[in-house]
Amino acid sequence: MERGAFEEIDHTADLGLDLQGPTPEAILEAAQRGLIQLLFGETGDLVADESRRLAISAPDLPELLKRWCEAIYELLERDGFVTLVSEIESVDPRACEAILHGAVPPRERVASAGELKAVTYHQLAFEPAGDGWRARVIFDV
Amino acid sequence: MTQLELEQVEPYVWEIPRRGEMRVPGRVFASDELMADIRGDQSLEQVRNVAELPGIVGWSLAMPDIHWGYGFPIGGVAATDAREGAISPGGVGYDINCGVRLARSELRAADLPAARLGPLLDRLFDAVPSGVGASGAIRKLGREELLEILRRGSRWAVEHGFGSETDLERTEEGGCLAGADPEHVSARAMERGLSQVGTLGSGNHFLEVQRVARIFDDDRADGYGLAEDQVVIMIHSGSRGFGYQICDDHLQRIRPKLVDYGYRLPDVQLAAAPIESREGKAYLGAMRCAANYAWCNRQVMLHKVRETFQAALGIGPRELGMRLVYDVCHNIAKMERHTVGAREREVCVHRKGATRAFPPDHPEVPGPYRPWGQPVLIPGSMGNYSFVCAGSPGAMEKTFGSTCHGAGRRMSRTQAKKASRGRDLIKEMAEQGVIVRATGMRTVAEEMPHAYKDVADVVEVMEGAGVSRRVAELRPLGVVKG
Repeated sequence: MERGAFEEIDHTADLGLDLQGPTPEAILEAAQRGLIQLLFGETGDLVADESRRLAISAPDLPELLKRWCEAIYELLERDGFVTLVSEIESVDPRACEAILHGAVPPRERVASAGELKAVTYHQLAFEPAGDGWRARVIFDV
Repeated sequence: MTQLELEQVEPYVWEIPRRGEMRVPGRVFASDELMADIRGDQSLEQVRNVAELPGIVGWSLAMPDIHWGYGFPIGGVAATDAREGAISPGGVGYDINCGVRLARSELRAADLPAARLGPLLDRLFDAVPSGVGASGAIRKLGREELLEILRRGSRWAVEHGFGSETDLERTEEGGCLAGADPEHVSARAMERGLSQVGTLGSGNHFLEVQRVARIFDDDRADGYGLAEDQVVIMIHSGSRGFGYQICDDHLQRIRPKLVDYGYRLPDVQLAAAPIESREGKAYLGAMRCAANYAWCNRQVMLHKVRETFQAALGIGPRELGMRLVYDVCHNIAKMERHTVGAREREVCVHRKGATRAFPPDHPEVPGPYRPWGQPVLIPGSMGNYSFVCAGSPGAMEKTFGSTCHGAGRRMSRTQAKKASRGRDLIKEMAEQGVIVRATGMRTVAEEMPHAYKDVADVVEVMEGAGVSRRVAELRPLGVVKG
């Protein structure tokens, strides 16, 4: 799969990501990498030795992106699971299925990650752009 | 840089004239210097957007610590008619009843030299869990116990041994907002709430051991039980994952209904429902549950702090004398009576990053503080000074009884981290006499003083505008951060 790209948004109070990619799958995959980088930082020393299956539904693509990010954060907050690779099996405007590969580092290391209060609706977007797709998501931290 | 039209209408007060879909003008409290910062992001556009909220009365207000938020600006105040107006979850924020609590003690700064303070902070760091997924301050609650907390707030904590009756008297609303309705709380919110009572969280939340560095108003300081060089404790936290989930759940319910209400809003995050609608009532019932959860959370933390001080310093409760000064919320929506035009009416005051600041003799100010006005707690940036202020009569005339809530960011988190690169921030703080205990360097870098406005400038504006006045300045000795 051709990968998407993420760029951190310079938002005064919160954090956000601008995402670009050739497909919706690439957008979600880039969002996962961007979110983990924003909240957790360096993951180069972690080995993806656990997996989680994820199935999400939503009324539209922007909401799907929001719920995707929420699900990845929920795994981090609740289980200490840091998603390193997302293998997206299918995306349509109302559903997404994926297998997440990641690691569960010591609890103290997870505790030092940034806390996500919410994935907001502010400027939330996920839409076709030229030959590919673009998206934006702002996090309340 | 915003190009929005602004007109200075009195010292420290700027008006955004009513244009287009705005139902009321905007009003921003700022000095010339702070206004230069404020113009640098999109927060003034957000003040203008809030002015489009259905049923808004008076003005869409911004305090001097305003900065760009999501939907509402942080530092925003909006009052809507209690019958015909709207309630907006975004006007409260995700961290419902995020707030600040201050406790005084009989200790003096000299009682806590670094050799004693370091181990004390280590124990506080252990006693009050912080960081992502923090839990376990108290045993995991059962569902029925959590329901009790949602209905009764701080009183549940006091009745279970986490504090005293006096604590309740010195908490805004007595630590319990009436009308909490757990029926509108989701299973996911309940799940998140079960294990997080008594936890600090992360981001800009903190627990600080401070000293009273300066008194501005002897009578009010005395009335609040504060004296120069006294050791005090400040706790900044909110409703944790429980509150975040409630805000998100209800935004999802309200968004699809906007067309039915006939609401056209410039930002989806401003999504609102008529207060009298089924969705509006459901949100208010759930929001009050989260407010009560947050008060209980801060009450349990204060109790843990008291226990830890006594154990670490080997002193008893009388010698420690740790008594709550006050607890204020700065993310909330409350039904209050205010004069709008020439008429007193009930309004729903949304305070998102703004603090209630009722003046002397207001009936909702606790009896012992009534001659002085409500204590207002304004934390500065991490490791920098904070202020205790008092509500002034101007608050009722100009801001629906509200004032600022903190320093207000001037730098994004990304910029702050870049500016901190290569620096040993904890060592720098130690050289300034402030000991820091944190779960990681990420939030320390994001929350450094250079990322924030000077809180002294912020409180001076509100004093100059006659809204609140300075009582005491607090300087940190030690900081615990998630």
